Amino acid sequence: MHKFLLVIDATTRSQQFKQMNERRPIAAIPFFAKYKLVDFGLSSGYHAECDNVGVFTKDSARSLRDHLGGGKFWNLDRNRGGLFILPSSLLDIPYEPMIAYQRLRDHIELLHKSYHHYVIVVNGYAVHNLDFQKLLNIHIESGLDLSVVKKGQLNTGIYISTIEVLQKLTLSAPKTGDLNLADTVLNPKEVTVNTIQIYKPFYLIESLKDYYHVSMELLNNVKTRNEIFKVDRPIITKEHQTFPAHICEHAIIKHSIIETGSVIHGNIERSILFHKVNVGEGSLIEDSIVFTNSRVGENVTLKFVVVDKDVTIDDGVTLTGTKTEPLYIPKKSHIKGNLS
Amino acid sequence: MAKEIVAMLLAGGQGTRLYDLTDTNAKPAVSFGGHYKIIDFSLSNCLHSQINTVGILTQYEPFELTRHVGNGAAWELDIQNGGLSILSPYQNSAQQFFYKGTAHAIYANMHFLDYYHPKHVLILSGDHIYKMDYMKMLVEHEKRDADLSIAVMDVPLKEASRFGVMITNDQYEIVDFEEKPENPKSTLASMGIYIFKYSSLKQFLKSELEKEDTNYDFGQDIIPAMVHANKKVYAHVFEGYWKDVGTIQSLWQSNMDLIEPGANHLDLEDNLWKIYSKSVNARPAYIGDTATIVDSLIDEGTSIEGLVVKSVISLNVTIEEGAKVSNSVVLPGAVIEEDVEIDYAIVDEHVVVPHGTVIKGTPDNIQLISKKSLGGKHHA
Repeated sequence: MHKFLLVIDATTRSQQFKQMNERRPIAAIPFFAKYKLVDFGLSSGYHAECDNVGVFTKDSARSLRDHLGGGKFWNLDRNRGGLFILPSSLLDIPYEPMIAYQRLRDHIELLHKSYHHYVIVVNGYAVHNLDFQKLLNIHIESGLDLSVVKKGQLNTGIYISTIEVLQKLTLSAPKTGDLNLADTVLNPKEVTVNTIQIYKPFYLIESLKDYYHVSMELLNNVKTRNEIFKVDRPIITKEHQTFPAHICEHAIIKHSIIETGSVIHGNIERSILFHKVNVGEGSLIEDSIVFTNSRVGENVTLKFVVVDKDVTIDDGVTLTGTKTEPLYIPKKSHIKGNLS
Repeated sequence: MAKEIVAMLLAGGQGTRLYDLTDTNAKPAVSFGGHYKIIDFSLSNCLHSQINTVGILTQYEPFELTRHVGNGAAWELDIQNGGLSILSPYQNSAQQFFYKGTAHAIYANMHFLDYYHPKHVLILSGDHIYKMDYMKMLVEHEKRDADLSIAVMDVPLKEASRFGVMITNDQYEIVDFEEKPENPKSTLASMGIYIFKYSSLKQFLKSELEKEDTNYDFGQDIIPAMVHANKKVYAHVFEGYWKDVGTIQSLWQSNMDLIEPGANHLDLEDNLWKIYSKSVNARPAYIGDTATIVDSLIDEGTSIEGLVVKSVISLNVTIEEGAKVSNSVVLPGAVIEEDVEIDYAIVDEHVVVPHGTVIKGTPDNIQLISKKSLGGKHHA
C-alpha cells in the first residue's frame, strides 16, 4: 500500500446554489440525510489508510471546521501527520474555479513537511466511493508525472502526482502562467500527463439543480445507492448522538430516506429527511429534501422543495417547486404562508 | 491525583436469564432501544453527573463490551487524569483474581481505587435502564456523613417481594433489610446502586471477604455487616424510570416502554440528558415502496419493505417485502425475510429469519428468536 498526502480543495463557491452556498463552502453542504459533501473525498482517503490530509478553505469556513473538528472520525487525530485545515489568504488572481497554485504556494509547508511520496488532490463537491489506492497504482504504473482522473469527458477534479511534481508546478506557476492543475493538464509545459478513466458512479454537485437531481438519483436507483453507500466501505461522517427515528401512529412513509432523531406524524413519499426533523400530523412531503432540525407543522404540503437547516414551517402552509426548479427554503427561515 | 468520587461499573455477570442473547456477549453489551447498548445508560449517567473516572469490571465474554466502550471517548472518558479503565481478572505472584462475586471484584481492584484515592466510591450495575444524577445522591450522602448510601425506589407492595427491601427509620437510615421477602415490611426496593465512603468500604471488604463463609457479595455480606455494625447506612430515594433488564420479559417490556410511554417514562428525546453510544458509520434508513410502519422506532442502516407495527427496529436490520413484525424488538443486523410473521418476540443480533417463518408469542410469553432456536442459520 502506497502512502499519500490528500489535498482537499474546499475553496469552491458558486452562484448556482441560491443561498444554500451563501454562508458555507460547497464542501460543507449537507447531503443525503447525514453527510456533508466533503465526506466523500475524506472517506476515500480513510479507506486508503491516508493519515495526512490538508483541507484548503476560503472565506468563512466555520461550518466546515465544525464538521471536521480534529479529524477523529476519519482517523486523522494523530501525532504524526493528521489533519491540517489551511486558512484562506488574499490572492491577486481574477478568479479561482479550483484551488490556485498561488494558494498552494502560501501553504507550501504542507508539501514540504509531508513525509509521503505521493499526493492526491480532490475537490470538496464530488459524490463517489472511489478506491484511491487503485487510482494511485494506475498512476504509478503509467510512469508519467501527473494523472488526471476522468469519467468519459468529465474532469473529476482528481489529480495524482508525486509531492515533488506538485511542488515544482506550484513554484514555477508564475513563469508558466498556469493558474491551477486544470490549466496544466490542458496544456502541459513541464510535465507529462496521463488520463485515468473511471467507470464507477461519480457526480459533481455544481448547482442546486445538480444537488436535487443527484440526491433523487441515489434515492431512486438502488444499484447506484448501494455502490456509493457501501455497507463494507461506508462513507464516514461526523457522528450525531440521537435516538432512533420515531415513526408515529398515523405516519405513512414510502420510498424515502430517514435519519435518527426524527419524529414523524405525517406522510413522506420519495423524500430525504435529515436527522432531527419533526413532521406534524396531516402533512404531506413529496419529492422533497428536508435538512437537520427543521420543523414541519401540521397539514403542511411540500412538493419539490429543498428545506435547509433550522427552518420552521407553520401549520397549513403549501410549498411547491418543480422537478427541474426545486423551491429552496433558506436556513433558519420561518415560513408562515404559501410559496411556489 | 485524588478524586472526589470514582465509579466502579460491574459488567462481568453472565446474565443467564437472557439465554441465547448472552451466549457470546456480556449482558451490558446487549442492544437496547434500537440504537444503544445497555451499558450506555450507566456511562451516560456518569457523563451527565460529571464523573470522569470509571472502572469497568469485566469477566464474562468481554470482547463485544470492550470493543463497544473503546477508550471511552463517546462518554468523554478519554482524558488524561482518570477516564476509563477496563478492569479484567488477573493473577499476581500470590493468587488468581477471578471475580467470585460483586464485592470480590471491587476487593481485587483495590489498587486501582488506591491510585485515585477517592473520598467516595460509586458502585453501578451495567444492566439497568434509567437516567439518574449520581451527583444528587453524592450530595445527600455527604450531607448525612453516611458510610454507605443505597439508591432505592418506592415500589408497589405486591412487587416489593422481587427486590432487596430496605427498612428505614423516618430519617431514611436503614435499620434492617430483607432479601426478596414473602411479606415485605417496606416498599423501598434496592436498585443495586451504592455510594460508599472509601475508608468504610475498604475496612469492610477486608474484614468480610476474609471470613470463611463469605459469599463475596455486597447484598449478602458487606451491607448486612455494615448495618449490624451500626455504621451510617442510608437510603437515597430515586424517583423516575428504572428497570433491571435481566430477563427476556423485562428487556422486551423496557423496549416497549419507549414506544408507549407511561406516566413515568424514559425520555430518549430529552436533549439535556442524551444517551451517548459508540459511533457506527451506518447508512441512513431506507423505507421502501411496499413498507408500512406504525408507531415504531427505526434506527440507522435499516432497510424496510415489510409491515412494522409497535416494534423497535435496530441498527442495520433488513425487513423484506411481505414480512410482518409486530410488538417485537429486532436487534442489530437481523434479516427478516419475505412473508415472515413475528409477533411478541425478540430477534437476536445477526439472525436470519428464513422465508415464511411464523413465530408468535404473547405479552406474557415473549419468544426469543436466535440462531439456536432457528437451528443454526447465521447471517455473515
